[in-house]
Amino acid sequence: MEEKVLEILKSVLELDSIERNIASSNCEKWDSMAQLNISVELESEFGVTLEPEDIAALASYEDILKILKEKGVSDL
Amino acid sequence: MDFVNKKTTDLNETELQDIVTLFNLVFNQDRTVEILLNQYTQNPFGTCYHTLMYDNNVLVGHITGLPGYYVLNDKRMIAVNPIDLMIDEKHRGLQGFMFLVKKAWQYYKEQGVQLVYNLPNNNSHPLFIKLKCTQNIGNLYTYVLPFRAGGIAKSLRLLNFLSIPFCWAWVSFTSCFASKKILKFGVQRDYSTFLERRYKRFDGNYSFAEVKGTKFVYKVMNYDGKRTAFLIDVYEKSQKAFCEAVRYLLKYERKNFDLILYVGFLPFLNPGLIRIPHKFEPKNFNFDGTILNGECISEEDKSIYYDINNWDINLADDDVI
Repeated sequence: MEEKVLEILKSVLELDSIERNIASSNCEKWDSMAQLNISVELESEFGVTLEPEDIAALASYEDILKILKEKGVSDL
Repeated sequence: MDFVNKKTTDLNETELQDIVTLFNLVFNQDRTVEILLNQYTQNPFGTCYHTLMYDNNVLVGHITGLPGYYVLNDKRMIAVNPIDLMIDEKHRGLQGFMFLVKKAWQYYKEQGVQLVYNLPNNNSHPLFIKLKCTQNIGNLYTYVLPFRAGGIAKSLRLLNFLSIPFCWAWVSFTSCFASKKILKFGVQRDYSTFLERRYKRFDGNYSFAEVKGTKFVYKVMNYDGKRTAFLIDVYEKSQKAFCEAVRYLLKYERKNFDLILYVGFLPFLNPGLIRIPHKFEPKNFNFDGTILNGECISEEDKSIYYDINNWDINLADDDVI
C-alpha cells in the first residue's frame, strides 16, 4: 500500500523518481491543484472519502499515510 | 495564522495599506487605497466584509465579501460576492485557502448574510468545490458580435467587408424572430438597491441607454488590445430587448468598437449576439455558491439557488468591470 501511495504521488506529480520524505515544502510540483488531484486518486484507489480538512492536510507522504490510517486503510 | 474580521469602515490606515500592498503584489497591479475604498464602499451597505490572515503580524491573506440584496424566489436576502481573494506566494496552499474562506463564511453569517455567490477563476474554482466551500451552480456564457474582424485580428482586416454587413444582417434576422416575453428569474439582484451604487465602481465610466422601454448599461473600452463594447446588463430581459440593445450599439457606437461582448447566462440562444460554445471560450466564467443559513431556507429555494437556469447573472454581478 505504501508503494501505491508512492506510485500515485509519482504519477500525479509527474516525477521520474520519488523519495519517502516528499512533501509540498520540498517539491515544486506539489501545488494546490496537485494536492487536489492526489486526493482524488487516493479516494479512488483506497475507496475512502476525504473530508475538506483531510484534503487540506495532505501536505506530505507522511501526512497521507497518517490520514489513510485514520480512515481505516489498515494494511499500510 | 491569525485571522481578523472587519468591515471596510472599521479598517485602520495600516490595514488598508497592507491590503493594497498585498493586492498589488499578488495581482501585479498598481491600485491605491482610494481606488480600493471606492470598490469596497459602492454597494447598498456602504461597506464590505474583510477577512485578513496574518502570520507573525504580517498580512499574508485576504478575502472580501461584497454585499448586496438578492431576491431568491420572491424573498429578499443579503448575498455576498467574495472578491479580492489573495494569499501571498509563501503561504499558498490548500490549508491556508480553506481556513481563510471558512473564517470568511462564518463572519458573513454572523453579519446576517444568507447567500454567497462566487465567480472564481479556473485556479480557485476546483478548490472551492473540492473543499466544500461552495457548490457548483454552472458556467456563464460569452456572447459575441465580431463587428470589425480586422480590429479583432489584423490579419483578418480584409474580412471587414464581410463581418460588418454580417453583423447588421444577423441582428436584423434574429430580431425578426425574437420573443418579447420578459423573463422571470428565480434568483436575481434587487434592482431597487443595486443600481444606486453599482456603477460608481472603477472609473464610473458606464453608459446607460433606453430604447423602446429596454434599459441597458454598457462600457466601451480597450480589452486585451481590442476595442470592445461590453454590454453589461439589459433590464428587463427578453430576447427582443437584447436585440434592441445590440442594434443601438451598432447604430450609435460602432465607430468606437470592433466587437460586442456580453458575459452571462441567458435561457435563449441568440440575443442578437452569437453564443460561443464553452470549449471555444477565450476565458471561462465559473459560477458557484453556498447558502450560509441552510436551516432557514426551504429545499425548493435551495434547488432554485444551485441551478444556473434560474439565475439572472452577468458581469454586473461581478467586480471585474
